[in-house]
Amino acid sequence: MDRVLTLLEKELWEHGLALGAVLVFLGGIAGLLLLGTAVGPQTITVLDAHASFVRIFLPLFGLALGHRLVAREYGAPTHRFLASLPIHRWEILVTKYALGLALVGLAAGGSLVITGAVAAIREPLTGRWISLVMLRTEVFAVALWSFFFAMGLVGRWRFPIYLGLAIALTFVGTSTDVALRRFWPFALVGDTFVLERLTAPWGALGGATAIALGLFAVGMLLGAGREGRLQEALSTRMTLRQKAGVAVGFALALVLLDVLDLERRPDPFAFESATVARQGRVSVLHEPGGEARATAMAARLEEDLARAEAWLDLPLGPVFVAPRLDLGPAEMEHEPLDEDEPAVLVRAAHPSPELEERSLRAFALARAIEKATEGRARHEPRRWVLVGLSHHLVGADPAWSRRAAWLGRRRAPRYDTLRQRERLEERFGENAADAWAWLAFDALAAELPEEQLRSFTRELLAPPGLVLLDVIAFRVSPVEARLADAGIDVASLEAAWAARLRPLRAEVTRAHAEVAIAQDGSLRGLRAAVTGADGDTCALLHAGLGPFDVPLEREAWSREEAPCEALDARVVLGRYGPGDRVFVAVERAALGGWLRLAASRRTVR
Amino acid sequence: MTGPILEMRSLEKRYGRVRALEGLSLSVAPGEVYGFLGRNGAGKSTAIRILMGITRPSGGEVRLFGESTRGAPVRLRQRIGYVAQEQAFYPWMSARRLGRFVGGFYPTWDQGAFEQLCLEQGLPLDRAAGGFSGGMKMKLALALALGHRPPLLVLDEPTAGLDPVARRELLERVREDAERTGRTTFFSTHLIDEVELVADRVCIVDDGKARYEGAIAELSARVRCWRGVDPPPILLAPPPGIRVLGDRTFRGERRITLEAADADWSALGGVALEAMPLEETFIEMVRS
Repeated sequence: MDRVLTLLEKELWEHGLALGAVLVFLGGIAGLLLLGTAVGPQTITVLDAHASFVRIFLPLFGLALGHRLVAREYGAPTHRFLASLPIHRWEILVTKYALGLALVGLAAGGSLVITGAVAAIREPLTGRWISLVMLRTEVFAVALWSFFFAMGLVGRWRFPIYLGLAIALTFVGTSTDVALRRFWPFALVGDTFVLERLTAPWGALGGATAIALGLFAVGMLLGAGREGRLQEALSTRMTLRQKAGVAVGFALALVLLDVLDLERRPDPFAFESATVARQGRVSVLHEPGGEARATAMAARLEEDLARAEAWLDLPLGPVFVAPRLDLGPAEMEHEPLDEDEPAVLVRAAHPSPELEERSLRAFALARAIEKATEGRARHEPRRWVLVGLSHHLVGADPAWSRRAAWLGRRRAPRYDTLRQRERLEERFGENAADAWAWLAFDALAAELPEEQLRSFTRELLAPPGLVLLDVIAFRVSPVEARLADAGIDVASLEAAWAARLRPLRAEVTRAHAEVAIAQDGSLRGLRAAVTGADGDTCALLHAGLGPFDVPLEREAWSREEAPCEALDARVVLGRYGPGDRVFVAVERAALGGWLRLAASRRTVR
Repeated sequence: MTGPILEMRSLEKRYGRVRALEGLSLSVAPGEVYGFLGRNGAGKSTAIRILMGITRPSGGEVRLFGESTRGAPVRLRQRIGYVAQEQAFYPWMSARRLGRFVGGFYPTWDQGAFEQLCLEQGLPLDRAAGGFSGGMKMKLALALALGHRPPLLVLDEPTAGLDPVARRELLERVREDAERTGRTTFFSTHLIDEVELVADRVCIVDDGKARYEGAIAELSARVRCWRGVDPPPILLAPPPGIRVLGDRTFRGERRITLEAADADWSALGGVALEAMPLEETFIEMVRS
């Protein structure tokens, strides 16, 4: 026992400083991961930070450990000195294995303990849950270390093996349908491993343990086989011929992969659930019992798509509609799929009887056109044409008129408000901006014969290829040029648009909101007040802008809802400090959607 | 202990088709300095690796302190001081730390004695061994081998790569240590003068077999040579007990080397034979 302890002491003395530094570094990484996960808006559980650590940084730690603890001893070759001492060869190997295992296990377990402690503050962790995650983590760590232990004893061939494995695994992962995460020991730390709280994956645990034992046996065989001469032969430096052979081998493999162009074509997106209504290229996921309604909606959307295809002479891809009941009746959500995926996925409160189905169909249609034009159709200044056309094709909804009229009380129907879509949307909200575009397009449709309107939209949204005008669009709007081509000048469009708006204005109620920076002692806060909307629901929206004032994604907003008359009591205090740039807005639930009563970008002083 | 402290009995070692040792037998008595002499590749290091338990024999056995090494090498190895041919110390360890590290493997380790040995040899105790010269490393290896006061010291070609002064100092220290402590010393080399300087008895090994085992003086008496142009016929067909080791002609002079197993040359009558230097004797024996 004394000699094993002596050897352990030597290992810690030799590698302690370096491994300590690595552990501190990994601790810092784990801390950053933890911080990022804790504040991330998409975070399901803080234990995600542990998952990232185990998948990415634990293998790097194992790699470093295998190099220092095992490969260096045999490459130096100080193992000859050890062999001359009264100690068995297997004792040396087992001591190194046990020490490495302890360190890798400690790093893995430490990561879980820290993330678990933070997660326990706000998540309902149970002992069983943590035990299961710990079990998976530690068995994975054993398999991982066994691999690097064996590789450490492969000597000069370990780096070609690492590189070969990296290439092979990348190839398998990207160019084949084989899902590596289903194989041991990767299955133990799959995508959702920190969420598995009920059952232990005994098959994967057993398989990973067997793999670990196998790798340990390989390591022992390499280290002690033929009285150590096998390892001695492996640990010498590569000859020039061997280096050249390895380099040529890898170059050939890479060229072969490139030539074969075996890049994986992923399976097209599909709903896996049985409760899906399908009509043509449209699939609508529905609740049990909601099939008839979903099928009818799918059929209408399929007709919309066919009409748009014929209108634009542009093939459109599949559309998937999924329910999300916490969205409002006019609130839609677009979930981006893979870049190569031709389909679009949208979410809406579609089983709800209050859902504005036409708005959903127009939204889905616009996303399908965007996808088919590789995103070109969605950019300013032509975005209003996309929105207008998609709404035009599904047919008018009374709610749109009311929203357009509401916006018409605040803005004159000027062409500039169409061109600068993002500005309009930020100030008045998406629903109002969509209705605004629809009304302008409707006015245009009344002025132009259908064939001319069709040609105008086709050339703007789905040109046969990139045209020069696209390149210089920042100075000369292609929309205006196309309008002029069609014989419509901007002034006549504005006049026709205003004429449509005029009779609608009477339908609109008046409400007013103000936002302000409040101060309480040294703390700054946001305050909003709404008048003329008593009994409705209002929302205070706010988000930090950062130094560049970039347009905000919806996920970045904080949203606090309250009765409109009580909104002024909701003061956001202390979130933003002096010098911060903040976007703050007030919305009112009215006319079937959210109308933005006030919005501004402020600098907190 | 009255019996041999180290015995190799019909020791064999095969590496695939290569036979490194073929029935090597020798015996080392307590307190003697034993020279293990042979050419490079003769099997010396293989025999020592078996003795140290680093390698297992394919046949035969090694007995240490009257006990077979089979099954209990670590306990027996703890009673041996071993100086390897090449020193592969941890370069970051100082002599003092190396002493502490090595001491963990020997129950009888004496750190004070080790440090004293280092100082006597002029070795700095707190400098990293990676910066030591070849001679210093060998001195350190000797100190490490003696630090646990072993009854048997095994040296595997310890002077390889040393300059003449360092070589001489090392040999004198080995001899002096043996005389002062009565320690049994098993000394492997391919240099005859080292054996002459240090050893009491010698084993000449060649092709994995012992060609001669005995005292150095006896070895000189056993081998003689004849020089001339026309050799007596009895030298070409010697009587029983005498054999021809070599018969060469160089620059017109013929030279016949003969070995008499019991150093009795009377059977050759009055033929005048010359004594040979030990190096010549060794060369003729291994050439034959």
